[in-house]
Amino acid sequence: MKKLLIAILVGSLAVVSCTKSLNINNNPNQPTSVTPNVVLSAALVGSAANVSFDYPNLPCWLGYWSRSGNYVPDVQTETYNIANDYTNTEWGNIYTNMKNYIYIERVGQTSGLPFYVGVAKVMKAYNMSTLVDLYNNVPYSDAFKVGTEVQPKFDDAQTIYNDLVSELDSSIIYFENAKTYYTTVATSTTINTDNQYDVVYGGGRPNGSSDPVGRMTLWEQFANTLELKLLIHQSQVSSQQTFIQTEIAKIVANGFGFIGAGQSANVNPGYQPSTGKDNPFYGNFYAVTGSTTPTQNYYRAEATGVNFYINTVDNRGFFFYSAVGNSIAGNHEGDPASLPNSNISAVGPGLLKGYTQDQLLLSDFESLFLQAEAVQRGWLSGNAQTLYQNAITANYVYLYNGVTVYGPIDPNADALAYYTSGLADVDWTASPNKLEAIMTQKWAALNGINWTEAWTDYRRTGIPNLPITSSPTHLVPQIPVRYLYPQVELNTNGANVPKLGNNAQFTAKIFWNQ
Amino acid sequence: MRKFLTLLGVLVLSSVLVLAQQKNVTGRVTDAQGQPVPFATIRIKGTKVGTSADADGNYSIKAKEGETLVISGTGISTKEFPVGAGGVLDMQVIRKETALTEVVVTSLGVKRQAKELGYSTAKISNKELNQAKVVDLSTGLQGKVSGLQVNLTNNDVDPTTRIVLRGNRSITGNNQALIVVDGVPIDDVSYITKVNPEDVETVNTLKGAVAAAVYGSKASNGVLIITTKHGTRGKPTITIGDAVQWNTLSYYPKLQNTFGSYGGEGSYTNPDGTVLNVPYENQSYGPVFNGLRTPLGLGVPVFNPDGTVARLDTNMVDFNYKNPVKSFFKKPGITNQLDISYSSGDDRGTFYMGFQDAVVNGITPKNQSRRDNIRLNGSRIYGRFKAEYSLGYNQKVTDVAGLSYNQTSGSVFTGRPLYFEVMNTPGWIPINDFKNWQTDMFSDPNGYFNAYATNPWWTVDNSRNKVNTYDILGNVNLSFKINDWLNLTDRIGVTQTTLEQKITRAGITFAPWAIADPWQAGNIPSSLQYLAPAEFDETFFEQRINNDAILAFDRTFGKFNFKAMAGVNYAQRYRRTIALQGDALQFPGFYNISSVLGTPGYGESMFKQREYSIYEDLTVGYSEFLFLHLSNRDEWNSVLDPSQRHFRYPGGDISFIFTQAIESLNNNRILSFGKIRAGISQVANINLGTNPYGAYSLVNTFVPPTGFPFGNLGGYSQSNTYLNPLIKPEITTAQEVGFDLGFLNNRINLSAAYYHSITKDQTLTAQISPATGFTGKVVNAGQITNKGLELDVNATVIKTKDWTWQVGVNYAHYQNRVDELLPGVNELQLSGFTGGISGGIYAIKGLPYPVIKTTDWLRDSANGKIIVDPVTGFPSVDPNTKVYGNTNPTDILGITTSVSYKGFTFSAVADYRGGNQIMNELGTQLDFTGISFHSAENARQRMIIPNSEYMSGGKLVPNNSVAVQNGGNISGAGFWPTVYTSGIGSVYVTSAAFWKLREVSLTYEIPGSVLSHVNWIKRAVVGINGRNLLMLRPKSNFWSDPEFSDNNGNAVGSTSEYQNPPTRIFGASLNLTF
Repeated sequence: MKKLLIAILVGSLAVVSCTKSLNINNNPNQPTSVTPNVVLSAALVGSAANVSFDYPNLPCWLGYWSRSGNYVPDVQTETYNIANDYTNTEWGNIYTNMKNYIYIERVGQTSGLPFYVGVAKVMKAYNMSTLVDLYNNVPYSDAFKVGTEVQPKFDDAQTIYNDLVSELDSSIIYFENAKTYYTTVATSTTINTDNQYDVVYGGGRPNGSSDPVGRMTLWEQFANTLELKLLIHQSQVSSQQTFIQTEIAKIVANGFGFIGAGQSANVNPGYQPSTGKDNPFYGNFYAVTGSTTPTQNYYRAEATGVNFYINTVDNRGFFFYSAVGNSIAGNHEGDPASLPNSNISAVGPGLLKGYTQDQLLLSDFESLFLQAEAVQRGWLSGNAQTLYQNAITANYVYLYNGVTVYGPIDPNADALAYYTSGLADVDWTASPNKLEAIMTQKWAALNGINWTEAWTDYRRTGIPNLPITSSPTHLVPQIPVRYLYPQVELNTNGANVPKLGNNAQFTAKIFWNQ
Repeated sequence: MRKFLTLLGVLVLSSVLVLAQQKNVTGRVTDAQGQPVPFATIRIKGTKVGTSADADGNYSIKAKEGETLVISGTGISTKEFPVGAGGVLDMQVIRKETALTEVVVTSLGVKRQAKELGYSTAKISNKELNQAKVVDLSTGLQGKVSGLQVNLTNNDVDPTTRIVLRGNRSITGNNQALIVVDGVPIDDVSYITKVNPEDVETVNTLKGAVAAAVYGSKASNGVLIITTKHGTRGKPTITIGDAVQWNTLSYYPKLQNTFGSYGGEGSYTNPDGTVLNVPYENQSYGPVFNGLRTPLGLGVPVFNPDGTVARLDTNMVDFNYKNPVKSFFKKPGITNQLDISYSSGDDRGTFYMGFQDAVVNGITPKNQSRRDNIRLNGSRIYGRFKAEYSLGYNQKVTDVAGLSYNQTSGSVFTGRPLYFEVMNTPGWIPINDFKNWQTDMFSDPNGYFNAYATNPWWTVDNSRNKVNTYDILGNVNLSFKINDWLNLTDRIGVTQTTLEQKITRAGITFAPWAIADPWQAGNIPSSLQYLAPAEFDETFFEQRINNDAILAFDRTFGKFNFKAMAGVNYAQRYRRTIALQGDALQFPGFYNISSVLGTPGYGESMFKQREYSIYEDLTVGYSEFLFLHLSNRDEWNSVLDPSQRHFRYPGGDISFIFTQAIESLNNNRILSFGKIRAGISQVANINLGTNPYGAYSLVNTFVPPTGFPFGNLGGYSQSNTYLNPLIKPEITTAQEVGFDLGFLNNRINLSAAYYHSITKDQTLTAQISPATGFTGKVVNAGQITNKGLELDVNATVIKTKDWTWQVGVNYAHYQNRVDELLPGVNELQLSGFTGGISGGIYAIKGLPYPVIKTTDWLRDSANGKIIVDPVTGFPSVDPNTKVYGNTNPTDILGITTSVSYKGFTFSAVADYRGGNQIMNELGTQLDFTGISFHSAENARQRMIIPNSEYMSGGKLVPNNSVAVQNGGNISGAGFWPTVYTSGIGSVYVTSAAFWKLREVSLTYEIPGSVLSHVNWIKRAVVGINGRNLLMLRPKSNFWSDPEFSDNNGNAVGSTSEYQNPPTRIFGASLNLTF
């Protein structure tokens, strides 16, 4: 019996000593902690992917694109009868990518890397403001606290906006600290690495800078422009007028200015003609084999946009839309008699340049239009007409760039001819309502480029006067003013989701829509 | 290990010393057939000295010459043997008619008498398993055991099954049984398909946690213990068998045979409202078949040598119904199994060798699988030392059709399944005329009539998925008998699997005229322009090591018998996978990843898991009628956090044989045997996500998002599921009670069990607000209750010299309920549906698990009538999904019977399953293409939706006037193709109940008198057999076999075109013994 006991004892001891060899649960397949630079590149490329094709119904609501006559239409889009799950994917895409900026901000704070904190603040403002512009109140102060709060409360949209403005203000301080950091503390390896992983303004970018101080300044201009954009969105909120002017004064005071011509904030990690590695917008329209995708066949030109460019004798029409014969042609969204694809323009070569094209986050022409509006409203000093004309020129330059199908053409000359044509809302001096001219041309320039901003402008100013869907079964004769809260949020956080009434997409306006 | 050997040495020496002082009588107890009789009690007459034989019938007792040994036991007649001068005394006894004396292989390979067990087990012998000559062992278990549900979820040359014992305990984790082959636990249930069923001696099912607890976390779902054959004593026996079987198409959805294609969607309406012919259309919404020669497709250009078009050739086809599905799968698939075995043995050891070559051809042309098994099993006894080994090797090669290409095809994983392409072919297409895609202009990818689908014959020849697996399972079992009552065993088992998979799809350079899309159809050539040749490679290696060292004690003190066991287990699992993917290769027809254009897709993963356990097991028997069994296992598992790593599996059960305990019931003629039993145990199940073994599932990872790396630029993003480092295993507390009764000298046996289990601390991934930055969070929450009743009746109805008739009935009633999910969360989606159908398979609080949840028509809540549009007459889909019943059968009845007359034996197995529902997802595709039966029920005329209402003047009024505006598919707005494909799910849900005649076989053993002329043949048996011959199902289910499932995981309950069609199997066999 003693031997038996010894045997059990020996066995037990063996087990105890073996517990050490149970420590084999470290993941050899994926890292569990990484440096912030690789998270930054992933987050920026993720943002580029989100902005490239999230909410693709909006071009169909805003007179840019229309459904194809070849395919069964998307009933929700063309009747405005949207369901809660209509934007599940986009809602998830923005928030889940944003957690990477939160990670960078935290690591940046704890490890003393001011650049990452600054970028995180700018990109957080970029994403959160988009969410507010689409859904009004959204989770913000309680968001990204997965460990403790899985049912975040929804914050007041105005409060979020104000906070984002102050985050952008403080981002300038971090970028300034970063300049000091890069000139006094950082090693050359760190400088080079941070530079490489900054796929917006890094030295590898044509609109970037290898000098960290110059690079930080570009980010400061991005932050300033974004802040200006957030303030201008509130143009119709009477209670915010003082706030807007105080904040614009701060921007002017910091002296870094706004995104100028040729300095667009865009992302390019080195897009390649390979599945998943190509420009995400282009990739929606062309497979890497060169063949067109169902998206290409599905989204065709809308007559509203087509007619605008034709009526204003605007060559950009052939860049926003592909030519059908010698002209461009479009269907009306929702029209049951939509013509098949062979008769209708597709999305054009000025937007679809190639697999390696940059993905815009905030374009120079959008910045110039924003400045023009601010000047026109008297919030910023400067010459509104010059800014307006420069914005149109910058848009021509963007569209013409890299397009060879029409032979050698000069965007500057075409732009000049266009904005001196004597037409109202085209030619500044011929336009009786300058704001209408700015908003009309901004709408015309953002075609297929930034449809969320175009929707925001349309909702706050009502410009241009867009026709509603031609669908015979549309719900309400009005372009929706918001999205409904996504079903995924109702499922997981229902108690906190603000209650909206029936047909809220036509009535429950965003706070700045007054 | 060195310590262990030292210990072994000490024990060997000490016991030799003990031996030298003793004189022993040893021997072996056998029956009239020479088979060992285990566990008989042997006493010296007139004394209390006694012993019992072991599982192999060997015994040893101290006795003097002249004394008499009395042998007794359940199921044998008591007999006396005088002790002679020699030390060896073999005893031959006579078996009594009983099924309750059988030896059961229980946990850890311990052989015990069925009467001792306080829980349910069921044994299936080689004969029962192989009566219908199954290739896949799991299908041979169907209908034979209560509480065991084997679903054939997909049918092909390498079918997939789902094996569940007593239902589902884990909401998101594994619920399939553990497989133990010759003592080696293998937690991948698909391993069962690799075993040669002819090599199997028995399959024993340990149905519940009570029986399986001592196997630890892998066994929380019950165990199938597969014991392979060992040689038997006597002259060497060689058997050769061959079985041939024919597979034929048995069921496919009921299709309409009235309407052809040639009409359909889109803008092809003439001004007068008639539909323009659309000959390339894949929808069958055209005119009624009229038998006339009709052009198929718009014509293929024939070119002059100078490149100009000479003419258009048009394929003329009779416009009548030709049933493409039946035509395509017309040729039966032939299965051939060749078996050779060799068996021998003597007093000192046994040897068995088995070989099988099984070639399975499918009804899908060119689909083939071939499995070759070699098995070597042996044992050798050297005094007190016994060595056993078993070595199995098998290799399996499957070669099946891959996916077709479609308008967005890039990789080999984009495209449609072949069955989909065949089924949706318009009914008048002579599908088999399109085999020659190489040179026939109407069959090649440019000229094929259908603008949106692939010629299935092209897919058969050009898209292949080949998998080669090589498995080896080795097992060595060394035991040393320290003395009469103490035995030390070490069992080490290793399995190794190597898998090579290569999926290839040829490229197509489409003709310029086809790319130009002369029909303006948006056809595949114009969309793709060029289909690049593509491939996918995967190699996979997996190794499992398992070692058990067990010290077993067995001693009788007076009326008490103590069987105790203590053991140590070590197990490790390791898997490594490397995969490469090329979506565009340089050369068509040359599939090597090195010829990839651009960067190939690549991936590598490695997983390792270890566990240590110690376990103790004690059975106390009192006077052969009361048995108390207690067991415990302590496990330490590497995949959990050190603080959560250790957990226990305690269990206990009791068995009371009242017919033996109560003297008045002894030798009762009517009630010959009676036992009641009860057991309770607790088991843990580690359920950690999708990683193999659950390894590395505690800490969140960073993964490169799509596209990364871009050249030298890396990028990592946090994964979207938030992991929980302190996750605990799921804990199941299971109880069972039951009884076994034998009547009329055990000619009728009745066994019943009731079980109840509660599984707490489910590991669930809670869907959380994306505003947290994550879409899911892993938590321990939720509870599920299972309960069920099992009844097994086996009766020998007739037993005469020439006639034997045996009947077995097994019945299981099963109920489960999701008691709790996450706090504040009432439902959890397990899977979605294909074909755009809303909803999915769900776990919902308060309901059975799992259930179908999907959309229905918008209805008047007051009276349930469908609300239609007052203008179009179309119903609309209510976006709120509803529950449409559970997907697991609540009642399963199996009937087995066997009738023998002289040399003839007839056997049959039938079973019923019911109480569940199924979602027939493929219905929506068939409605879209207008192939489905119900889409033609109203002759495509406008009709008023029965029992409908519409809104008029602010209130709902009965609809007697508004017919659907479009019964066919004029202008692409037809009732069936648009309304029935708008996400509606309820119309495709049917009862999943069925009766199936699973197996029928008739064999004839050629009488010895005939064979005496060829005296080298000892035995010859010829037979015919059939499987899945008949299925009865409710009329409403005109779709497919409701046993099939998209998913062989927990989300069973939906079928689609991703399964191959079910087949009926007929066969013949010949077995010779030399």
